[in-house]
Amino acid sequence: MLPAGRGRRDDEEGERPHPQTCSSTDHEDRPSPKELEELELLNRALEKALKVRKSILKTPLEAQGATGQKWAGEAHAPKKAEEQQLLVPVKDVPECRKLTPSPAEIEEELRGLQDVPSYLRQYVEAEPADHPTLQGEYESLLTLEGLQTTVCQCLQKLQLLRTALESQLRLCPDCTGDVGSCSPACVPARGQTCDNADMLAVPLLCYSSLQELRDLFALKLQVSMLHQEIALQKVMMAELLPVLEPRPFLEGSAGLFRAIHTQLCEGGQHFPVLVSDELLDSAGEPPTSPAQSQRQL
Amino acid sequence: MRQQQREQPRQRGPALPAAVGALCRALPPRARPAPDTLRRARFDRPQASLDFWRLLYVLLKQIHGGRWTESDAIGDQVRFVKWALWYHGYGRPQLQQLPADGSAGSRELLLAFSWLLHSLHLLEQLLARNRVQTGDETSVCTCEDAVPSSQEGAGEAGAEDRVDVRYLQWLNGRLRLQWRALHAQHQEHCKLLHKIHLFTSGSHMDQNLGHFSVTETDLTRQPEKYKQLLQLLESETMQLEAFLEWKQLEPVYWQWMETVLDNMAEEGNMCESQDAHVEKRRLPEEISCCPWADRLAGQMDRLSRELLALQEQLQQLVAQRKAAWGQKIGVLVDRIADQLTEWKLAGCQIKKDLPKSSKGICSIWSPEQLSVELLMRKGIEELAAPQEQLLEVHGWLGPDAWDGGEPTEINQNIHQREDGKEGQFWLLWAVPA
Repeated sequence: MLPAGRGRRDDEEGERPHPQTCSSTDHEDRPSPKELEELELLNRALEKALKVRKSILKTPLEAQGATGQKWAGEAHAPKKAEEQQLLVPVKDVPECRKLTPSPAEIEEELRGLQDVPSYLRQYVEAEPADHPTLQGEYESLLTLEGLQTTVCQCLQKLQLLRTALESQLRLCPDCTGDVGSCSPACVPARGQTCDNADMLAVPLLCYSSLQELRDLFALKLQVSMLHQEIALQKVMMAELLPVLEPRPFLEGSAGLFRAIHTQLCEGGQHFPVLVSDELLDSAGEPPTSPAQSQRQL
Repeated sequence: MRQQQREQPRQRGPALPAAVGALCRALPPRARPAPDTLRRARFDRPQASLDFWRLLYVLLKQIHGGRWTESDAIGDQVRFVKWALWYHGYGRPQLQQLPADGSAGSRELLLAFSWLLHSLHLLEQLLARNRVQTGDETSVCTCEDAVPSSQEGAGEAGAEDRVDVRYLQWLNGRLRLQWRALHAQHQEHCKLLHKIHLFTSGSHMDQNLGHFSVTETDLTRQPEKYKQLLQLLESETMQLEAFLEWKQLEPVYWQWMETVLDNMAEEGNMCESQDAHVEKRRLPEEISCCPWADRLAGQMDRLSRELLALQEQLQQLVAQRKAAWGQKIGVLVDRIADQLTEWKLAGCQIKKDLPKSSKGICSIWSPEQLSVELLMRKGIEELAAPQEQLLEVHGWLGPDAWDGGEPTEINQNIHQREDGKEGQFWLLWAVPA
């Protein structure tokens, strides 16, 4: 990392001597067209020999389905299908394995779907309840109907993923115990893995002041924190909300409600004040002393 | 040996050992097989099996960011490799059937290894992960770290089938404290990093970089460490060179693999009956054989709940809006119908035409004016010529709203209705008799 004013490191790569490859005369980093062709032929032969099916995962979300212009370009998340070609060495299995995504792909697709509900909810809430023009109202209606279609498609996709997962799990080997972290670890600072050598070049990050550097670190930390908070919130909701189901009167339930409210709604930061609201009896004094009420809470 | 005679003659001879050698050297140091291992595996020698299991184990652990030690049991290795290959979508059941003590199957493993090379871009990934860091690095990746699906917390609190909220609060507080401490440490780290960059600026040989990194600064204080760094860099350079060599010689390797496949296909025909029962190994109810699967299923359930809730919300909203819209349109249709009837009674000729420009359309859409789809339902069909009945009326202007000059038939303002039909915007106006 550098103070400001420095450019990318690209030309530095050019300064290093090219590694000598003994067998070829032209110093290209990429194989020659002839070799590519050869490789292509061999790949095809390989496929034939393995009786491979190239399966392309087509999602049902290819058609947009809605004419609402506002969100058409933006709701790309559900359409981000991994159209990956699978080279699965498969014997002549009558079961339709060819079209099933691999567990890694299922996980990837699911990750893509995770944020969709919150985006869609934002769009729904962005639609104003009232429109000054009839045209606006009409378009708004179309937009909402389009969002409805998207939700439906997402549910369909989710169902597909579920079925795919089930069918994959039928072949799942025993993995009792620790399989470590399951999804492949993200390569730091490189984002997507790709098969060209560009991935090996590390981009240069320049900063111009200490404050910028601090902000970078602080923001990264904040992102991690938020990810964690989201995950925790989901788990806590699953655990705590059932507790709030109506049931016979509990002792000290006010305290419990307060605690649950704090955890779920205030992030554990703020505690609401509970005030005992008791009717005075005919003698004109509260049935219990203030100190006692406090203790109850 | 028979197979070798059937293979293509000499042209591949010298290239194959070079290719295999380059491949082995391009792998990371701790996961580098001997070329012999691959050769033995090609003939399905059992001696090569253990080595191959270990090779795949180490490589896959690296990809998954997991940890391993030299002393990990072979059973664990086998289990992990089988799981990881399943995870990445490797479909050969023969691999899953290999014995758990790692005593056989080297040829299957060779096949799996080649599959990984191709499908996962194994070499490229490993090279990227194992770079020697001489500079100061940080990532701008905002990927969510996979929250480990450990169930310990739930175990403790739920032991008596109760939720202890106070424990939760306490844990939450501790978590916040840890985050704050981490934040403070990061800030301190930044400060020191900046200090180093500042104090060493202008010293670096490379003008573009300009200042030392922490590693380089450390070297100035402890020069004897340079030997270590140099070794690492040389090792990496050799790996990269081997990788380039491998890229040149790759076709030879795949040709070789093809012969392996031919052999296996021949032999495989005899064992096909075994496969049938493999598919049914797991009953559908045993879905949760795997913590990974549990986690995924949990995510799916949550997602499904959210989507269903959203769907319900939208259904209500859309129904509401549609009803309101229908009402408004009903009112407007009545207004148009009345106006048109009035004109007709006054003997006017109703004219309709395409609007002059789309800008004209926008000015139509004021609260006083209309957006109508259902005019025809009100029995105004005689307006349109018979073949135009499919077209909708979308705009309506009084006679004096036109800018002047005869409207011409330009600018077909076509729009698409949600049922796929095309509608056009029209202007209607009355010409007094």
